[in-house]
Amino acid sequence: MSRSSKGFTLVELLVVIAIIGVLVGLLLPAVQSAREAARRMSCTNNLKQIGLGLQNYHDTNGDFPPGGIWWTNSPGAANFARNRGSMLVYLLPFIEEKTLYDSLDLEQNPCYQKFPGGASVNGSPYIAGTVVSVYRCPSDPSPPRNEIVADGIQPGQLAMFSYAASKGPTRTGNNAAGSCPERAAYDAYNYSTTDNVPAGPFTRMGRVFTATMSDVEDGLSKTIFVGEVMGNCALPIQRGWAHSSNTQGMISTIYPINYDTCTQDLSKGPCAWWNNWSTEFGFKSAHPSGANFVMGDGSVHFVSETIDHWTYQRLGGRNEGEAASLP
Amino acid sequence: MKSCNWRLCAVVMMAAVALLGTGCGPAGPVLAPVEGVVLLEGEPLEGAVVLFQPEAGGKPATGLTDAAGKFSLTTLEKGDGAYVGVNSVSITKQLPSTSSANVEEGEISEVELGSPPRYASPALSGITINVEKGMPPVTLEMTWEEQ
Repeated sequence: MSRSSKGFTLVELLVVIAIIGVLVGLLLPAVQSAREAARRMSCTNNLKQIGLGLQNYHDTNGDFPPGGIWWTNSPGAANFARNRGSMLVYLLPFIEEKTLYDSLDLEQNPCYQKFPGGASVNGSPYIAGTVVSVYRCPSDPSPPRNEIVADGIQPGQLAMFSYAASKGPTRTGNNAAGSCPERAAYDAYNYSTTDNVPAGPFTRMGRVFTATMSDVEDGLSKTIFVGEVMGNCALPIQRGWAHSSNTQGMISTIYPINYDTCTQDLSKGPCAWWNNWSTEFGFKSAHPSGANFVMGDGSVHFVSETIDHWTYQRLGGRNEGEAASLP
Repeated sequence: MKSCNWRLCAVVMMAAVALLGTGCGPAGPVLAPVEGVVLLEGEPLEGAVVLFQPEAGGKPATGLTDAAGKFSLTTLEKGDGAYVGVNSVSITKQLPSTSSANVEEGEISEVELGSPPRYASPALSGITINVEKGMPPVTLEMTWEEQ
């Protein structure tokens, strides 16, 4: 006994190491989830700012901003010059980014306007390369700027975003190059088949339709306005926040929350492809089991990805006459 | 004796830790695997999407048919099935679009179906299936005839 009392035995050391291992193993997920909770708080705060910005925009202008003012995606086409940017441009003065807003010339297409005098900020000559922190969710795993060449503009020069305006349960398109068969199944949930009269409050066809509060007949607190998206999971986000066709007013609630379209590789199946023009246009986030949304009254809610799909449509719709409350 | 207490203490702590670790997962929906076959006019239909909408509310389950018309439903993880309980069912086969060839990215195009349109919505198809654990494969038969 006298020999063993001089120090620790091997077994005792192993037990101590095992205990420490188990404790660290327990603690690490807790620390990680605390970090995710902090990121999520910052993420919902940004959505709150956007929701309040939309209210203030309506106070000033008498209607909500356009999802986008869009004519065509083709940079070569004459109508490309008539594009006037996305909702994220028009919201800038209402989220304390008036200087950035004033630097854009909205008599022209704002999407690829450059800083005056050949200036460059963080390696980007483009005004839309400026990262707007309110437009970025810290949980969003995509990088702050574009990863792929967008319309000939090199990676790292256009700032992406994590929130997009909802067109509610409105039909989507379908890319013939990668057609997702589930698009036809989820189409049964639509309440509108045209972007000119969207079932939700926003549309890329903002030159035809912008919503006023009286267009939101189901009630502002019962209608989804803006929700989460990820730049890795829908190609148009790579074009930056100022582009007219960048998912603003293009996200439909007919696809379930967190539908995974986060691959650039078409061989993994058309439904999972980030450029299929259908399931890519669903709300999605990196939060486990759901995503954040801001309603028309500025209230922010975390909605589970297992929400009843009909209830989700009624929350997305502004005037279907079947106002649903959040579960 | 002292070292014995140490070991006892360690064992007790590890047991407590193991107990703490159990039963902490989030409670998801109750699902049951569903497999089956889709027949159109008695023939297996390939490339059709079967959708199960839980009538009590929930996320739809979907599955794509293979060359033999067979499908397996997925709600959250591949092959996990559909919500237990009554589900309303839709079956759609999307044709390669002719109209969407001329539209721009994100522009709405018509949905062109290669299956009878009256089965295209779970609300209108009239097909309901009661999903249970350990249920046998289901056979979904369609016909072009209007009823």
